[in-house]
Amino acid sequence: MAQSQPSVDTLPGLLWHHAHTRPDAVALREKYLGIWQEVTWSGYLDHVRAFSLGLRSLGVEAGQAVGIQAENCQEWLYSDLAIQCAGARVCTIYPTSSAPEVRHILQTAQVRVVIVGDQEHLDKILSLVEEGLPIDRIIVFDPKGAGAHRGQLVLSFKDVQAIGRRYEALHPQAFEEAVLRVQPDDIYDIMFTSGTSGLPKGAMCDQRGPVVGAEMFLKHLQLNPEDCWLSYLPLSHAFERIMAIAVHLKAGNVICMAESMDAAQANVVEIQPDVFGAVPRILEKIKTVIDIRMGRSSALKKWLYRKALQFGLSRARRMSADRSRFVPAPAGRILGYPQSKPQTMQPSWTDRCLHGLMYWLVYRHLLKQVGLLRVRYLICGAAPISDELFSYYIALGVPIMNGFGMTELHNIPCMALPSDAVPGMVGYPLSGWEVKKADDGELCIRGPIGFKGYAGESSTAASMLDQEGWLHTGDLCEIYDNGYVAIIGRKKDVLVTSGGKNISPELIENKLKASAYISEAIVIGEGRHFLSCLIELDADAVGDWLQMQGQSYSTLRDMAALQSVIDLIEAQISEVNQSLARVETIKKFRIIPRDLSHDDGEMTPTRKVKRSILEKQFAHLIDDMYRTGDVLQDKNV
Amino acid sequence: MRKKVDAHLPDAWDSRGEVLSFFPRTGRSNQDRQPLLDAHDICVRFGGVKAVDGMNLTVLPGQIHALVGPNGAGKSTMLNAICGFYKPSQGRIHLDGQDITGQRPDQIAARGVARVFQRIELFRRMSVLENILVGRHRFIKTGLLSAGLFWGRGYKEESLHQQKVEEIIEFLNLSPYRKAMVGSLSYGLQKRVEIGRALASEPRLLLLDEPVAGMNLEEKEDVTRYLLDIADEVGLTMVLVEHEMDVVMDISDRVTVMNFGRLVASGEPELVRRNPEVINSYLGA
Repeated sequence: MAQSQPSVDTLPGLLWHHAHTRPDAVALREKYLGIWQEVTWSGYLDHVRAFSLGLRSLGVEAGQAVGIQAENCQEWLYSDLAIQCAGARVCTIYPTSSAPEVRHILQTAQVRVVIVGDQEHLDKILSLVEEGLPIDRIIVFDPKGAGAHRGQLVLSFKDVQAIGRRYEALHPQAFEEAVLRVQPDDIYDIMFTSGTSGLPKGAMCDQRGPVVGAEMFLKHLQLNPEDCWLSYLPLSHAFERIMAIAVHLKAGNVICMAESMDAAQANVVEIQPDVFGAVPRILEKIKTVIDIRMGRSSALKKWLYRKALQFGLSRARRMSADRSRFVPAPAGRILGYPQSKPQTMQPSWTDRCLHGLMYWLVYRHLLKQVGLLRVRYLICGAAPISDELFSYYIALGVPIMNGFGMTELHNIPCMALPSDAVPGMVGYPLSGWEVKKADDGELCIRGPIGFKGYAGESSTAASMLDQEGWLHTGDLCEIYDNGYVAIIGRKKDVLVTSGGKNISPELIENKLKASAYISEAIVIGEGRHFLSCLIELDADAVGDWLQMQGQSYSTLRDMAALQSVIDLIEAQISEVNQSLARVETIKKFRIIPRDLSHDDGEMTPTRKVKRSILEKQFAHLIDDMYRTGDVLQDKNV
Repeated sequence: MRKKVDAHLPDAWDSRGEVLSFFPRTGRSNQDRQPLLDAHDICVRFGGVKAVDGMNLTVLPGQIHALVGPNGAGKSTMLNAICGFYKPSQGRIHLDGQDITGQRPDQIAARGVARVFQRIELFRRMSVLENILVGRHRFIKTGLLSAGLFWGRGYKEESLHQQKVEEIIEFLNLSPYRKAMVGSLSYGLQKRVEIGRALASEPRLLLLDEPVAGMNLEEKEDVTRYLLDIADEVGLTMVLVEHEMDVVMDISDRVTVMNFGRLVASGEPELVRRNPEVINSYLGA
């Protein structure tokens, strides 16, 4: 018998399923002209249908790569699914990627059709076309100001949909047939890594990986169809793609599109999402916002906040399992979900009552102000979060959870539920996943991995995946016999000091970044006799502090040179030094007199520092530190 | 191989619907029509000083017309004469064929002339949305009581105007700052709000006095981009006083050069740039 309904083993199949079983339920929300507009599942499918047939009519074939460079918007999701329905592959590009990066990605993935967000992205692609890059078609979501280019090369999203609708009138069954043809083994996307240590690499993934992964993930998280997820992290990043596409299509919940990255903070407050994903930097920002606002409030409120936080932090300490009792599992031992023992701690009655009181008096108001009042799961990922920041959110009663994932995985294999979270750990393997520590300390993961190798590289997936199906993550880890995993740092980033000590800089950097005044810290020390670091200031927090001190400054450079700021940072570093082993202490530091940016190639689009570039860029500051005396006083005796 | 797109694409190509939908579309290529602004033989005197001396300025509809010249050449005075702040002692100014010489600024504004000042002139303690809403003032007919109580006609009318303001906010990408206090925004953003407020009055002619002065490169690029977008989308006629020659050459359809209150040259940007008198008096060798 011929198959009449698409299977739910693929992402397009899942969309088709939702659109036919609950057509009027809300799938997406996006603000337009100041009002949150809703899109139903059937509306979602209609958009996808028209655009997919439009692409087909324009000659996009199965297996071909179609690039998308845009900010998050509903059209991204429509195009993403439409490309998959056409049997083609989605090639993701960060909205902030520069023209040379875009060129590298388009060439590597052999992209001939590019979809762009607005005129800024369009200009980038047009300049590449002028330089001779072979591009057949550019499709623009927001064609404002691009009117002069409309024609054979440049079309708008609406144009392509109109072409698709005409095609549908001639071939009414074409879309359903195309969805039926999509198989779990088909490669659906080429997700480019952020390129921390070199040029971005395009990880290809099949349909099965994210679909099975999302199913496993949802065995642990209870998501209801009306639960809201605010989409603001770039859709070119694995974390957002998992949550806004795979998990969304599996759980059938609601995605709310943030107006922009800048507006995300205001949007969180309006939406009050039920599930919220954040990178540590965002959580640091939210904490800074609370700190600044509390600093300006009345004496009574300040006192209440201080007391509530003190109680919250001590409760968080009592609630978290004692890490010193965890027993490391030997290298090579395989641990899966059945072997892991979540460390759930029950609060005492006194803690419960006091927490309830603090909640009504303090936490509730704070959380409402920052939009986290209704959050049931706050998932933190993409970069390591410091213990201090993690504990801060537990103290406020936010159900925070730390997860581990990577571009090649297209999934979140390790995580702990809020009740089982242990600061400094990325949780335990979820259902369907296994972890082991290799002999050299590298974290290896096995499970529903859809990774099928890198685009444009002759080497297959074998460079990352071994014969037994283990994916070598490149991260150093410690795995405990209760299944909990702690990430120590990137294998490539380990420093060897001239004294022969191996030090993972990320651990120290995260402790430093926990300070409200430090936005980014880069630890230096390879082949040197002591560790030093470069500091990027959090301009908002330091600016606010200076204002309180009654000091003025004009620019960031000005701020960085102030003696009081240098003293402030020195105090922060000295405090961190006390919690570090002697060889790990920071002996000197310099403040970077400007903001680090992706445009200057110092950071990846996900705001991870590119060490090699930074060390070259600020070589004069580094040399200066190792040339002169005056080390920070070592209080760690 | 690129497959050919067959014809019959939809008229509007933005999937979200048109922005600035309430604006009359005039298009940019109406150059054979009669001038929108025609100032003839204008003189403005301050005591014995002739700030503008027999100046002629003809602006065609849909064009971005730049007015350039050295400091003290009388450019801003010319703008002030057009929008009614200064009364010319000689000469006539016609807007779309009608004589507006000597009218008060509010009367001229009501005829569809909006102005963006060199110094930011916004209500610093009001939000972006409220500031732009002020630009709708000339269309608001509600009385003080109804508006104050925000009830009945006042409520309906304000919602209607707010929708239009939202289109402007969307057009100028100001949505992240919709509710932000204007005083807390960066200079570039404040300028954008000011342009938004001018647009809200649905002008036929927009006068801009050094819109990119004091901005960093990114802010300059942004403002220039938006001015071009406005010209592309609704074909709004603009007169731009500017010192930045790069900006002027990039976006203007026509350039008029002034010196000592008089016309030096007027024409297409490239022709004006090569004019020996302009090089001599303004651009330098």
